[in-house]
Amino acid sequence: MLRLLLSALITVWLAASLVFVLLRILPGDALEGQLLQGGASQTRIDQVRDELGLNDSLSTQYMRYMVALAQGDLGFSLANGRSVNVIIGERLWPTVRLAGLALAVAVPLGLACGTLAALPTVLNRVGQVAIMLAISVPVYWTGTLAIILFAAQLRWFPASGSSDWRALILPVAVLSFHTMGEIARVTQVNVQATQQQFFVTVARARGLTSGIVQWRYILRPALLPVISVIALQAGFLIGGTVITEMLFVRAGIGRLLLDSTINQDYPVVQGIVVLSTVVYVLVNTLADLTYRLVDPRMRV
Amino acid sequence: MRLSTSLLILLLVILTACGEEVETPERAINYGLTLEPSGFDPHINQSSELGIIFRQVYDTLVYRDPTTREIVPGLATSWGISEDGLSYTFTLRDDVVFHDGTPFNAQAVAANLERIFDTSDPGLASQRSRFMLGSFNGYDIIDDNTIRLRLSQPYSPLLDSLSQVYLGVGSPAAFEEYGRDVYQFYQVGTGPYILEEFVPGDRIVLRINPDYTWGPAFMSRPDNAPQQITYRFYTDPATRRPVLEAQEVDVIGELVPTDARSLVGSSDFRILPTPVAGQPLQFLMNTTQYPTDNTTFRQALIYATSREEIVDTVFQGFSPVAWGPLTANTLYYSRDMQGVYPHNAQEARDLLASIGFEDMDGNGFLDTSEGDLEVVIVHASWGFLPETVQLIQDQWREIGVRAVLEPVAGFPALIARANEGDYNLIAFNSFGYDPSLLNEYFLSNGSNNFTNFRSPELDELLLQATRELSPSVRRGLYGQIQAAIMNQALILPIRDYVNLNAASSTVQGLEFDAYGWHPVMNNVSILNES
Repeated sequence: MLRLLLSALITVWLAASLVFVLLRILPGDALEGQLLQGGASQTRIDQVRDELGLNDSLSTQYMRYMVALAQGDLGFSLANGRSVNVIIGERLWPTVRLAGLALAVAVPLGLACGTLAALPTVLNRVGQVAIMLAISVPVYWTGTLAIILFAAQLRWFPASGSSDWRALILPVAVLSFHTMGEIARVTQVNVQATQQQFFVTVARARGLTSGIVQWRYILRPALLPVISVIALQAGFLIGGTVITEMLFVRAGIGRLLLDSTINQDYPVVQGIVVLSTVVYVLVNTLADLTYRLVDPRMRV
Repeated sequence: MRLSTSLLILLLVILTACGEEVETPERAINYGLTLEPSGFDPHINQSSELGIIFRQVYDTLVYRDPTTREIVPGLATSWGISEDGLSYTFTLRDDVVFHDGTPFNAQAVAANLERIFDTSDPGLASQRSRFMLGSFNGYDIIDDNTIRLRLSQPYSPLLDSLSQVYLGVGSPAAFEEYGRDVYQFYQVGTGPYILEEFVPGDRIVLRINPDYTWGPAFMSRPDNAPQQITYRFYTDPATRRPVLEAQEVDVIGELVPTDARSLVGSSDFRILPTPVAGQPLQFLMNTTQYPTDNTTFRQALIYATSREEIVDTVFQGFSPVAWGPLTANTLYYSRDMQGVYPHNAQEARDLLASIGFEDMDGNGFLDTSEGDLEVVIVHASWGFLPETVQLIQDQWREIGVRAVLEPVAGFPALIARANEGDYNLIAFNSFGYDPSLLNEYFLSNGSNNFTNFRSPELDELLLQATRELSPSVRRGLYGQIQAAIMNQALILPIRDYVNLNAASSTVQGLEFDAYGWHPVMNNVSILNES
């Protein structure tokens, strides 16, 4: 347990440090653009940088950042001076909702699709094509297509907004379709591999009906590794929300990340990266624990 | 299995159930914005986009009439300018109240000036509102309805500045109540619409101000004015036409030109191409970097560029070709600029030959001692610049100049690159109606002087034009300034900016102010769909 916690902390620290360094390799930052565009003189810009400690050495800034981070303080935006904790807080819920729903839809969908693709029925081609599309086509393309088709042409669902639950349908559909791809692929591979297992042949030889064989002897052991894939998909979701939120004009962390990166508003980007890392590590640790719970072999 | 299923269902219920149902009044407009600025406080932030919303929330002391382009009374009924141009005395309306009930008076104007010049915070604020007040150095409250602004030297753009949303007059009581960082969520003005709700990243909602009777003469509220306006941020250009067609927005700006072209002639939508005042889409040419340090070379580059082709292909003919440093609908635009350096590849080749460039190795490109002659173009990724520079690259190949394209991701990166100085051309421009915006670009010490051109004569012309109060004298000076900039070939102008707005045909009376960005929503009415 302690080992788990330690490795989680180290992961977060590494991510926070990496993003700190990487962002500062790029020339320029949000502050300079903001002030210069507003007609500030170079002297004034230097003065503000001084006041904010942006002229200190990188190591001093890094130490200050780490000390604040340890206290849960993500700093202040360079673009508008507001607290990063507040900015992220304002937009956290829409993203949690979008990603949560997408995952909730993607898991059963992925399991069904993967099983369908693996079992020797007439529909297995359909499952295989769906998996291929979900994995290889970019979210951006599906999203744009969904907007043009279902919002602009057929007018079944709205393409934007967040005040109405109907506005959630398209973004959740698009995001869950892509999230389920990897889940379905792993399910398919595992189901196919399990079918070849000796105990399945034995079960068949015992004269069990094919339904019982498929449900009890093939699916249940095949689905175990899928738990860790679901956890890994949390990472995909974080990236997927960036595109989905932009396309469907939704408030959220993803769009905030995109805007802040383009504006080089470092503290906000850092804050979101750290938060994402924490979520990712947390989900995967949870998956680890669940795995031990579900699979008796892991408890040894 | 049963437990996890019920947990899953519970989760789904929680995630879907929390949508706030917003009650929409009968006549409501959804307005699509194209980017979400990092801040919305007009005194602190500077984007043109914030004005689309908050122009409706604030009144200004004076207005610029969208039709006549003259400065007309707003919150001030009249004003007098002293002989020496150093003091402006405004007589204020006495029948105006802020949305929170605070009365509008000279003290309120003073509180706004104090707020703009308040430097107590770390100064993350843009300096735009401060900058726009030029040589302002104090005020005197004469009585409740009279205030005098004092200047340290004459500053002719002052009234133009005071007509813009960045100097909109907010409620002193609201300034008291909300700190500088949160006031943007609770803005209180005297304008035709009231800020009702601001959900960062999602929407801004305005509600009609039923008491608004003090608008400028060019405003008149129709009977079926929208009761509510909801703004959302459609940052991805490709989604703008679909959301318009899906009737999720009634008005949207900056359509992709090909999308706008395909909507022309539709009975459901109207395209409202709106010229934007200020500088055109332009490339500033670096006069201190080889080979653009040579005036003849810079002239050859302009001759070699077919702006007509760019306007036709990239902008679908919606934009006029730009010839000089100001767009055609900017104050004191000089018609003499039209047709200077027309597209002429032969002229360009002759000019290059006249300064000794030739293709020695026969590979189609002119040579220097170190190989092919290269011109570095730095450009941002927005505003169809990538498409534009690709055409330019093609066109220059015909005269043997190799253009090296260097895109940058965002605005800060562009500024950083400009400050590094190792470019030949950089795309950059500003918007505004008063030509004094040229100062930042062409004064020797201007903060956007990315041409690095320094000339005492041009400096003197620019400064004189900013001090001079007589319109006819200013017009003459700006004529000379525009000619001087083009004689030196300091910029490669491409096209006048035109904002491709589109509106549903149920939206009537939508027009934009002289600056080109900001609609006058108080004149808009909604046709009932039936």
